[in-house]
Amino acid sequence: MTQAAEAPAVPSKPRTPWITRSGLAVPLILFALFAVLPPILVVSGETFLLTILTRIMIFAIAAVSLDLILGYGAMVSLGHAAFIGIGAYVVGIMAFHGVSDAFLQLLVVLLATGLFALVTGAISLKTSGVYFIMITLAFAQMAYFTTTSLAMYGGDDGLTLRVRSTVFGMSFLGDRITLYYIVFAALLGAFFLCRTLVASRFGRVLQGCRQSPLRMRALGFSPYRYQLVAYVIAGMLAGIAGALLANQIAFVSPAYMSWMRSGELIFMVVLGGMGTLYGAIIGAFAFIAAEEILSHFTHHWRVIFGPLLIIAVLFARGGLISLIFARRGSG
Amino acid sequence: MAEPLLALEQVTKRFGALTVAESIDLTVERDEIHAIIGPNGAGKTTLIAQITGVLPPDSGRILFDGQNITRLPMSLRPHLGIARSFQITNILPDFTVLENVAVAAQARHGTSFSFFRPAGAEEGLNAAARRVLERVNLKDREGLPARNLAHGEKRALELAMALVQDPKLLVLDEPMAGTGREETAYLVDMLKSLKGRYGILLIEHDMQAVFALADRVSVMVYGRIIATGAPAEIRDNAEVRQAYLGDEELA
Ligand SMILES: Nc1ncnc2c1ncn2[C@@H]1O[C@H](COP(=O)(O)OP(=O)(O)OP(=O)(O)O)[C@@H](O)[C@H]1O
Ligand SMILES: [Mg+2]
Repeated sequence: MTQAAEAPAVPSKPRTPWITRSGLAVPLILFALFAVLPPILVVSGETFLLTILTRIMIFAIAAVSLDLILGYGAMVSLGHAAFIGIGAYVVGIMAFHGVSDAFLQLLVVLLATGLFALVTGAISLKTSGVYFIMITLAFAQMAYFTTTSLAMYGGDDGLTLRVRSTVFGMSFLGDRITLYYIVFAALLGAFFLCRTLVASRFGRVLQGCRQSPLRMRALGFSPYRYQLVAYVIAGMLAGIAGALLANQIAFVSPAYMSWMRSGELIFMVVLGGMGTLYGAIIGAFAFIAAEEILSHFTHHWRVIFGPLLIIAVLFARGGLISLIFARRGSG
Repeated sequence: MAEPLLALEQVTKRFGALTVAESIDLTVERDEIHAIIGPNGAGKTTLIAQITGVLPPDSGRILFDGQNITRLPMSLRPHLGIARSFQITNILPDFTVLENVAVAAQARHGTSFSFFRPAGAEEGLNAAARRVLERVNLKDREGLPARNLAHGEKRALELAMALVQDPKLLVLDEPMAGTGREETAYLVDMLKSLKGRYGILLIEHDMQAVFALADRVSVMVYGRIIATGAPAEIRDNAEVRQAYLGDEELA
């Protein structure tokens, strides 16, 4: 190969180990922790932590999908929670009508969130900057108010899940450890899918369009098409997070898609470090852990939490992760 | 083929009351370097914007390879064989030098709706990129983030991104702007070596470079082309001297 033939011409660099070059060190440590924690927590009797960790991983899936469009595509969507809500409502409504098969539900979740992303993305991506933020917010609010008006499915009050999703007629998502590992597998899948996408030709174009849309157009790319595909993929992944959330809480509510939820997802991504994918997982962890701890001490935890978030974002440029590791150039 | 590679016919463009292109007729042959010179604000960059599709003309036609491209979207023009550099350096700063050129190659080779294969491992793209990087003297910089390049190196990188697309027409907006003397000399030599292989529309303030490179020179002033001719003719043209070149040391 040409590379090998030309290798001697390149001044020999200190060889960095594969794990460092691949950027997988941090995520693999994270995943290893997630993998081994359940037995430890069960033995030590702290099973309530399992519930929190499951919740963290569910939001991590949504945050990773948001990082795909935000960190790699510079699409600041303030409506990402809508996809979580749609995913959750698909599960809730199908269960309401007695359709609990997980695969069928998954299919409908992907179709519904994909379609919603395609339509709203096609319109939103005609704009940019603040307009994009506002229009994604507007679409999410539309979804929000639509669900509040679904009187049959509980309206404002939300909808209790009649049955959790079943696999081949068997119901085991009620088991906390089973659900934990299913969510864990989904997080792994979402992370490695996004990682693969980002490194592909498609991902390269997406990142190029983040850096200079004019340059990319002058090279012959139409940013719109690539951004729209990324938007749809991210929406579908967040939809899966929503379906899992519905199963965890056994309840779906319009609150899942409020603009505050969307804002929190952005915070998670920024907090952990945009454009790294695993930063979104760390961000989700830090965010939900802080939320849990603060709400434990006071009902007015939001008063403390808001300023904390702002401090974290201001002082941890590039996210929390950059305090620990120097950030590598993306791409 | 007798038709020119690029032909502008009566191209007119106004920004409000300001006319930046007034009935411009201009051609670039397949193997020539056609330089446009003119004072700041003459409308040179705006003319390039219309050729490359950034802005539409108000009236007139732009023909490329015999095809009317007047209203063709910008992102389709590179696929016909038009590549450009920007007056204000426009590269992808977070990508490495190699990635910048490889993504330019990717635009012209195969689909970019490829989701699972790592682009960085595509030897076809990398090899094409390395060949061009060698030509612009950036070979040993390939692993560097493009943001870390020196100014002159960024100019060269932009040229590499255009060359790797194997265009028919190169549109270069002041490629030597802000480069040092040595780098300018290198770029002039390089453009000389490209001569004959591409049609080149070159906008440049560096007169020595222009007169060393161009087959034809057009002089643009206030949105009008006041003269077109061989470098020697332009140098001797009284109107040009008065309008633009002044009493500079051109002898
Ligand atoms: N988008 C725009 N809207 C309004 N006026 C513009 C716009 N773009 C350029 N102009 C004006 O049009 C005129 C021509 O600008 P242009 O950039 O084409 O000049 P130029 O010949 O490239 O100059 P220079 O040598 O400084 O690069 C200038 O007066 C500029 O201020
Ligand atoms: Mg200009």
